[in-house]
Amino acid sequence: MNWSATTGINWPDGNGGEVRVEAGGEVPDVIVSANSWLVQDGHVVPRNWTASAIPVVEFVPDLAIAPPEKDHDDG
Amino acid sequence: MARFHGDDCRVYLGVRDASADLVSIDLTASAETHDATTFGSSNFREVDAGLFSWEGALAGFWQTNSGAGITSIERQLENILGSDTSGKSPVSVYVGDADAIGDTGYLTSDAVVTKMSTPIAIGDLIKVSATMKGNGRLGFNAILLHVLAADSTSTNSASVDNAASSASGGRGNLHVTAATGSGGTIKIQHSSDNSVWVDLVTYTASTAASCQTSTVTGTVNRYLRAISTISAASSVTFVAGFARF
Repeated sequence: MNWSATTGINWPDGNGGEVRVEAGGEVPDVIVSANSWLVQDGHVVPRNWTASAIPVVEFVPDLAIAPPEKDHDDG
Repeated sequence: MARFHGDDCRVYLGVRDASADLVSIDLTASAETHDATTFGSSNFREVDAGLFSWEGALAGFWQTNSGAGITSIERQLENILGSDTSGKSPVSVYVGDADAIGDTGYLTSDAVVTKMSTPIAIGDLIKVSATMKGNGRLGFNAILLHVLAADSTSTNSASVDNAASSASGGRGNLHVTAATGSGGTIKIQHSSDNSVWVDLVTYTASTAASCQTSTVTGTVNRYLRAISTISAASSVTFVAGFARF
């Protein structure tokens, strides 16, 4: 899963330095997995997975379409 | 627990290191109370808590102002007398000479200088004194995160371990006494593990002497540090600290 920073975040680059992303930048899953507090405190959110991006599909019966008439069996 | 002598204090007022100007400072926090005594109070007064506030009183040596700018403490106090302009009046006081990250102290909000006086006595140096009233919460639990010094390259300062996170936010004060070139941006970051860091306070870019105080709410993680992002061929001389509420 990819993660998006909600604020500036720094993490070690493994070479004695640091990597920094600003708000909106991508945070690797390996960093988030090892630091669950980033999710718990809202410092990262799933990338491209926000509530407003979830398509809403409503299923409403189309009343303009008349149901097929039943065949009357008059016997 | 350590005791400290007044001689070990350093005071920063607005854009000024006022340590060489002041001889005393007294910041007082108050809480109002309202009488809530009833017939059922069993002969004892009862009170409900009211509004909080803080006031400060400071005194220093009066000096002549040299040049066109504000170079003396007297002129600086006069400049903020009756003014509530943000960034002119925050005070940061640190003990332990304020020469090491982790030194403790307290931080004020913006304030209005309400009174100035210049007592003159035949047997003493001329002094200037002032009183001020605060426009926000006083931070008594301050930690120095950057000693007054110039950063000429982007720097991540050493961290301070609070042993645990806190839940009630806090106040961060930044005093920039000088900036050259295009200056830079100062931030305060917090961390749960002293490894991955998240911005807690981002100050407006400092391109000249300036002062900013800022409050945050909610969780402040266990570790704190200051970081600077300095523009090419520039420098920012600053002192920064944070007080947990």
